[in-house]
Amino acid sequence: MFYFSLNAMLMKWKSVLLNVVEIAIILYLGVIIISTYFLQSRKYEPYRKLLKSQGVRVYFGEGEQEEKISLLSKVESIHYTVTFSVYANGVSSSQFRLRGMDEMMAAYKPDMEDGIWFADYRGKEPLAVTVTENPYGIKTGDYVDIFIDGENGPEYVSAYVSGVFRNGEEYVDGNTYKHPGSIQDYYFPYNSETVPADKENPLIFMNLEDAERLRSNCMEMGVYIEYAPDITDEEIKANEDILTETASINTFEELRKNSLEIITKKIAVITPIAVGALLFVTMSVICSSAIDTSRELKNYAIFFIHGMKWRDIVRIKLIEAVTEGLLSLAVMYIISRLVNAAVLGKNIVFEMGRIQLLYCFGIIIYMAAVSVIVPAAIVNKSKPAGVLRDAEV
Amino acid sequence: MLLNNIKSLFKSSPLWMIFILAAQFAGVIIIMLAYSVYYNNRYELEASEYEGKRFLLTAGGSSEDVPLSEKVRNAFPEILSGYEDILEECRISSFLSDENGEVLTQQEMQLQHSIMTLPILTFFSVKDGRYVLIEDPPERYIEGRNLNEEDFTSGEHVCVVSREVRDTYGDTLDLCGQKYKIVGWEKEGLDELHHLNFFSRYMLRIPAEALPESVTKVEINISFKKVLLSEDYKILGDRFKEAFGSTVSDMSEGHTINIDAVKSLKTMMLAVLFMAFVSACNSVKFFGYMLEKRRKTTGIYLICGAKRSKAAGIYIKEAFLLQATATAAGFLVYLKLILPRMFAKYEYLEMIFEDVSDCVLLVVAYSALVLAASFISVTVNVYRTPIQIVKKTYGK
Repeated sequence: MFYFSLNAMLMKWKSVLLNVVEIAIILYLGVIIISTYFLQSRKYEPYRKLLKSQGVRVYFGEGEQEEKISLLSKVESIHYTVTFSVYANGVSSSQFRLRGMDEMMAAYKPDMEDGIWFADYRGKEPLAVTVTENPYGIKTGDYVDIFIDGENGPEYVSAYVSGVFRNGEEYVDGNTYKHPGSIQDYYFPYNSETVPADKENPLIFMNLEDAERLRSNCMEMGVYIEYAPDITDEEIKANEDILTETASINTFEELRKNSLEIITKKIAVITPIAVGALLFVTMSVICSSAIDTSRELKNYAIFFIHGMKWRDIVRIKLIEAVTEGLLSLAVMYIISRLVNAAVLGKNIVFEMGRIQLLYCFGIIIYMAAVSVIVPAAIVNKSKPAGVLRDAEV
Repeated sequence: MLLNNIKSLFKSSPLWMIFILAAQFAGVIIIMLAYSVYYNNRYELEASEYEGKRFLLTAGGSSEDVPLSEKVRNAFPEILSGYEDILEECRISSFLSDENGEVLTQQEMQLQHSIMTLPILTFFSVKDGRYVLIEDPPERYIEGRNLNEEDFTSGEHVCVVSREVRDTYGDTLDLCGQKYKIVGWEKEGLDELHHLNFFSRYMLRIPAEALPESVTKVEINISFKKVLLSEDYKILGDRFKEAFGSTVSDMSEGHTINIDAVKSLKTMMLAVLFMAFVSACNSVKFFGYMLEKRRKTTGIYLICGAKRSKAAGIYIKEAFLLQATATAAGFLVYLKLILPRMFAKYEYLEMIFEDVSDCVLLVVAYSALVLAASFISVTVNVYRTPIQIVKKTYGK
């Protein structure tokens, strides 16, 4: 049966090719739309688990972080970044801003111009960093010598550059005041083309632990404090009283609520196009299948007269649909590579995650189902003799 | 003949004809929807990032060559060409380097004027190094007279000043070696609020044409009636830089647009582009199928002596008529029924649809793509010999 189906597909290769390209585009379309949906929450994702617990984000006054935190009760964990200026590659004029990020904050993976994000590096180098585009020619695969004040005088620490951060991407930083009280507010765009400070002082991203080994007591002023699950309301109140004496705070609940509100708004804006695309895809698939079936109705009638059952004919159609679907997956991959290779690729969101794969297989199954249901609906209403008679008219 | 053909098509294959029309209709609606959402979001994004309708530009500097007022004036028509219709107001603030008096340089006296014609509604003034929006003083707050249109067009050396300046200089002000007659000044006894609103301490208003040549820094503030997009900022910024040299900086510098928002928009537009392509593929299928069903008719046309181009012409005209009808219907339904319901949720849509020419162009381009796809089907089916057509229809 499979061989028979393949032969049938080869006989009408032009029509199959058109179908495969069309389905591939439909798959690609869905994947980029789903990826765009996920993009809206990518800043929030690293914090999702943390924000479900009880805690606060505190913006401390300068230098008071450690002292205040030591006064708090039932602190489960603390998340923060450290930042300080360093000289790199022995050039005193090349002042970099070094940013150490803990595991949670490094989980936000920006798009890279080249190479990989430092947190994804699994190679042999003991210290991997990511740098932003810089006028000093530091690129992926280079080693950057970071100057530090050691116990025995100045020292250089050599770090492997795992990748270069893309211009225009965002990184975890202080408040931007564009979305107050939300996680999205703590991401800042880096752009060495339009922001002079970014050009003069490129960034080096690394693990928090490594950064603190280079220099301690450089905790950023924005700190996430997670309370223990058994903390009481009174203890929370007491902690907040201590913190609000000099610092401003946002509870995790507030942050979660505001962040989700922003995500919902963004999703609502792109939904009309997504819904339109979905309706369009549904209609296209049904129409294509109906046309194909109508075209082949005469052949089916001949098969039937020669002893084949309608059920077998539907099976042939099913095999054809699944084969076309699988071929489309391959073509979709080629399309995605082509779009990525074009300049467009930099700003197109294409990620092949679990949901996207589910969508692709869902569409293939849907197409297979339609290609079974539509022919069944048409052939069940027709008698072979009638079909042949109609074809000859 | 054309209408009769279409009528008979509807009679013989009503479902397929509905498919063809519905596909085109839906395609137009989706394209329009995408256009609306895309531009609304872009304007929203740009308005939040760039303060929307304002273009601010600083040229020159205390230690650099400075653009002279005449140069500024002469360059403006060219710089703003293409934007005249949406231009609301254009203002220049200049800092003076004074050859004679120390007051101007030491106390950063600011000279204010407009290069545009009256009425001028607002001015900016420097106070404590910050820009503060102030209203143009109404006549009731002025002793003497306000500047008028004649002053601006004639370039008369006259000025309106704050009380402090009037008290210091009397009737005439000496600026950069040129004398300016003080024709109006801040009325005595204005309360603090009015004083701050209309007169900073050392403020002058001088007609643009009378601006002294020696200025150290010019700040150009242009207000538009509608939100600008970043490409407009780039065009204007480049024109200013070309006119005044590299010392110019515009407000788009230092700003970066949220990359995720840009990615979402571009991805959605790519999705729509692909939808148009799928629609074109469908069109090839639909028309191909309809023509396959009419092979016998085509064969008869050709056997009866019709040229292939004539036969193809009949089918292409049919395709055009069907698509034009569906496109027009989709366009009208969107404009009259769907769009008005979107105004409440998408705040920039009314502004975007003030001019529908871009939108019409987009729909025409989309329809042309679909028509071109139909043309392929027609060509493949018609440019066969009558014998091939008969063989295809009845088998070998």
